Amino acid sequence: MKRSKDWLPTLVLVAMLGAFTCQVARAEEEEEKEYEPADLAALLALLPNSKLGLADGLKLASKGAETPISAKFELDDSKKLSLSVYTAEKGLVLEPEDNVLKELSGSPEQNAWSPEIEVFKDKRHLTRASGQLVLVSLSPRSLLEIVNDASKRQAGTVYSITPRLQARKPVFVVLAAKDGKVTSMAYDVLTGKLAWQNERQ
Amino acid sequence: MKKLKALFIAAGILACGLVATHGAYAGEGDTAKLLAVLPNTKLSLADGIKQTTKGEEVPISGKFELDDNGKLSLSVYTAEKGLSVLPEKNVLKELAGSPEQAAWTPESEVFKDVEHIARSSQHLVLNALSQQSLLAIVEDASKHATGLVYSIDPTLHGRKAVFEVLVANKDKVSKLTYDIPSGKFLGKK
Repeated sequence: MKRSKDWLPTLVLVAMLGAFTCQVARAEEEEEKEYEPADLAALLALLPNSKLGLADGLKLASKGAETPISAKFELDDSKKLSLSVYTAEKGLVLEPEDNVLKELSGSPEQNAWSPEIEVFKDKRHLTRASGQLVLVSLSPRSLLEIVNDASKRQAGTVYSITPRLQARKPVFVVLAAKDGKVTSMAYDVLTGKLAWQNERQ
Repeated sequence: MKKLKALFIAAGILACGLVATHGAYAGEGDTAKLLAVLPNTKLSLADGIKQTTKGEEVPISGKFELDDNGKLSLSVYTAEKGLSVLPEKNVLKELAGSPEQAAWTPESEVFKDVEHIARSSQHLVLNALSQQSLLAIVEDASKHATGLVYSIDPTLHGRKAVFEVLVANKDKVSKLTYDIPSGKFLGKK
């Protein structure tokens, strides 16, 4: 009987490791959905062409009350590099239904970023942006602060920040790329602290 | 010219005042009408919440209101695929119908308009952050205030996530708030 009790701490440790692994795996699953594998490879190849950082896009999209709620580099419909920032035009204090949720996107391959603006009216983008607005409004830290923190911790280019729910836990998922490798970082939305970090090919 | 400018400013202030006053009275009038017909209900908000919880489908807000014909209606917003599925991949809808019969047979509407999509997405995200279900909050609110719980709304108060619960006792309304992440009762007004 005594011997079986000795296994208890090991079992608890294994269970905790399992839970952590599942959390990381879920994050990777979400990330893969955001970028198709072929698109991700092409995106990583084009990232060095950018003359702007993600932080530049966040700063440029912050005007008056207008506040960024997510941002990423991606490939546009012509498979060219694009910098996209979702914003809440009326700031974080107004709820989604009273706000104007939109996307600013354009090429970051020139020194001046002159994005096109789209106000969301379709279900897919509205639901996503509404959720992002709620999560960003609950955080004590801005997207820019999180991106700056991630850049200090991780060498390479920070190319995406997305507020999302992972297993009902609110996190900012930040992606950074260096030499073809991607690192995922998750920051707790409610505290602004780094929750976990994971490097993979 | 100065007199004309002053006249415009005065007219503007008067117009704003009239609009604000009308708005306040309209809101109070609707609440008074709702409170007058609330005793006709044969169901409670908790009943509506229980009835709309089916399989994965989860209620994300609920209230008694007046329908377009001014009749009493019980409305519950739900997330068909549960709280773990993101708003863009969920089905957000409203079940609404008369609570004046013993059986509630609500009509179902999947949201397609900007206002309802945005609002229900917010409700889903805020519910997902909560350790407590709407039903648990409604039942707790019943202990803190006398009367009929007639609305529960997950909302943001100055960037703080709260459940706002309204309880009617005859012609008086109490507003209770709960912190969403912790589920703690914050107070009553």
